[in-house]
Amino acid sequence: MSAEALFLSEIAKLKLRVIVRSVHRILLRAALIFLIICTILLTIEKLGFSKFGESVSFYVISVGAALFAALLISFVRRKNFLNVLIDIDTRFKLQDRISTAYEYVKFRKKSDFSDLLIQDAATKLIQLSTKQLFPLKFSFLHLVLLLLILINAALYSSEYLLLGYKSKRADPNKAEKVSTLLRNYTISRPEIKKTEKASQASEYSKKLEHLAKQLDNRSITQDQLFTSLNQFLEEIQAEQTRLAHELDAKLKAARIEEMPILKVPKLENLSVDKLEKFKMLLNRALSNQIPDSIDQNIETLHELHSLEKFLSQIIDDFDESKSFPEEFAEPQGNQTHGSQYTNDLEKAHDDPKSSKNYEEFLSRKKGGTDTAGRAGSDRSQANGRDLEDELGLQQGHSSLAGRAKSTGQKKASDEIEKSPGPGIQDNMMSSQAKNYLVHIRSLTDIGESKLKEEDIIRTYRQEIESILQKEDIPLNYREYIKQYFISIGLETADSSQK
Amino acid sequence: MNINEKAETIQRNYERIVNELAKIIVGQEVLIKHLFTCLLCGGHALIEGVPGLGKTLIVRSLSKILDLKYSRIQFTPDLMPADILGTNIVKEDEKGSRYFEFYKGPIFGQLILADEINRASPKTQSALLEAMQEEKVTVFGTKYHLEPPFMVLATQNPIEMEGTYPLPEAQIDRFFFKLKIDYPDQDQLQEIIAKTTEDYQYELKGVIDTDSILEMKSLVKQVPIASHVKDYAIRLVLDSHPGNAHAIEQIKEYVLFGASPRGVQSLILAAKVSALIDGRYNVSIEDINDVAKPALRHRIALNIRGETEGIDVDDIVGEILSNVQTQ
Repeated sequence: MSAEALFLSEIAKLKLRVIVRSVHRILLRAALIFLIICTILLTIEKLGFSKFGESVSFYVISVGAALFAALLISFVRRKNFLNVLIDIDTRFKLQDRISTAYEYVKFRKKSDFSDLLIQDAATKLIQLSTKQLFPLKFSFLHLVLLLLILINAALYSSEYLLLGYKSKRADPNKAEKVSTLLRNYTISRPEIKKTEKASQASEYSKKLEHLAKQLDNRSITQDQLFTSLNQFLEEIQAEQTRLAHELDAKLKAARIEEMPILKVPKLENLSVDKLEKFKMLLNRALSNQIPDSIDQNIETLHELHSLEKFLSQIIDDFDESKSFPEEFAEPQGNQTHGSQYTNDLEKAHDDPKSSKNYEEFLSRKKGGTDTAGRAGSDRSQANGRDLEDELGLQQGHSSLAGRAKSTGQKKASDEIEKSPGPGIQDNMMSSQAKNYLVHIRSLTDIGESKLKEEDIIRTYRQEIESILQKEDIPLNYREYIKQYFISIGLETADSSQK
Repeated sequence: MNINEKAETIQRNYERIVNELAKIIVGQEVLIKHLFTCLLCGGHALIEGVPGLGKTLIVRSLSKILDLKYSRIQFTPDLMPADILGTNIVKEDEKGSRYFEFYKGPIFGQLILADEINRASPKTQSALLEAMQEEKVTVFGTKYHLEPPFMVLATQNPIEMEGTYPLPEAQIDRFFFKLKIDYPDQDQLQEIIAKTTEDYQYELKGVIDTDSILEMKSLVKQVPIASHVKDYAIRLVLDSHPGNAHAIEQIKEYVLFGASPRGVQSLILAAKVSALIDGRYNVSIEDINDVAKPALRHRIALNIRGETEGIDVDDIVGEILSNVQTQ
């Protein structure tokens, strides 16, 4: 091989190496630019100004822009191959042998010494290995790249760790609130007769109590609580189905279906209200002589319905909070979403409509037949009417206390609450069931009452009596209920005197 | 003899000269190298140094080694151009008729030592101009070619300025190199004492002849030089001008005018010889750097401020080199 051919083959190797290095630099620059973009945008995202990370197009555009910019920079800063050779000459103290030889070969310059020069340059090039010519240096750019990778990893991992932590650790306020709700429920549960069903119900109570304890001790994560509640709900639903079948069988056995005035609905699909209504109708049909087994069965079903609704409510709340986990991390003023969730629960607790189920559980302590908790609920009334329609019975309108018009003018509940005067005080609120939220419509306008207290009480008493007269209340219960309301009125009178 | 052998001959001849001169000259390797470079480039050198450093001895020894016709001209204020060039004298033949015959002056040698050149009047100094530039002299309208290789080695004393005539810029530019003889160090002085005050016998031999010198001269211009090296030399010269955009502050402050195009010619040619001496077949930037000071120092003229502040042109050239390398 001639000196020139040898030299050219070495130059070709160098050129290949230069191309590889150029590609490496382009990729390095592109990676740097991409990571810089990511760092800036992630920081912006962390600061809460905008959101980019979830969009695929964001990454595609970023990578494209980085590659384009890297290509542009490489094009602007591209080095002539001759300059690469000069750099090699300088680094290896070759005294411009390679660059001069390349120039003489490339431009076909003639000199008496050119052959000698090319041969000399080829010899020198062969002596140098590729690693020597293009050493793998850990440059400043690599250091910056490493730093950016670490920064980005930290930014990403912090997000995930935070999410993981937040998803694993139940919010203390929320946990406390849920624990209180569970405990309240178990405390306020009605006294169930000492039967085999009662033992099952107490088992559920124990479970609720256990969950409440776990939340108190912080020994359960949010996910675990969620799973437990779900399992518990499924268990209750299964039990509900079983009990419905059992009740159906018992009703059949008691030949209830054969009664002309009662049509047994599908018990599995009955809501709490319908079930209650059904029990009321059954009671009426059987002249208040429902067999104990059936009565207890209905009670337990009712109990399970209530429990199911209660659990569904909590699970729904959890579902909402789990659907937007990132919101937990984002502060809104001084209030986090965790506390927002707690507030939601509080609202649910305070709001008569949303906390209906919960209140319903609490109302159960007054007895399975106590419908005061449903007073003022249009839906429950409608449900009752639906059931009556379904059963083919028209028993007349049941006007509950507080529904009667006093002035012929309807007032909003909040207005009623604000209305001063003793006439607006709900006596039932003084009882243990302060969460009944049953409002007896004010007889006066909002503001200072001009009526005497005795007049207001009298009006109420008359109204109650008229309701009792109209209401389809079992005969033996009428007097009892009447006495109850009278006792409330007397109590109010006593307290007002005091 | 192929080109490779010719190139090797240059290196070998240089080593011979150095070794031969080492018999009588102590140290001064750089000076000897630059003198050899001047010889191969067909240039002339102005040697500057205080008295007693062996300027004359070096030139005389070199003439013996190179086997060249040696002439020495001692420049004095009353020296006339004719004393250098020669003159027509009236002669009478056998028939009694008179005629002019040109009597060649000392310039008609091959290696001319113009000792203390700054002591002669500018008129006399200028008598060297044509000879140095065109290697010919014109006397009474008749041109006389000088025998190649023709080389003027002028010396001057930088300290004794009284009664001297500084060389005009036009003349000084014609010198290929301005060389400086450094003061010998202790070891070199020991050796000098040993060689001059004791019974030291030496005999200088001619190591190369005129033909060899001419052959070597013809090779010098063939040495390849890359474009970027040429660019470097050009930038170096341009940067010596105070009006240049890339000129350093020192140039702008202390320099009246920079190097002429002869400067870059000197740089390139001298670098080529330097490469051949080094056994290479191409000129490198290091070669340019090696010859930058002798090639440029006499071509950069200091202004009044530079002169009064005693600025050394070598320092300025050094700064230019540093500046050009970082560009």
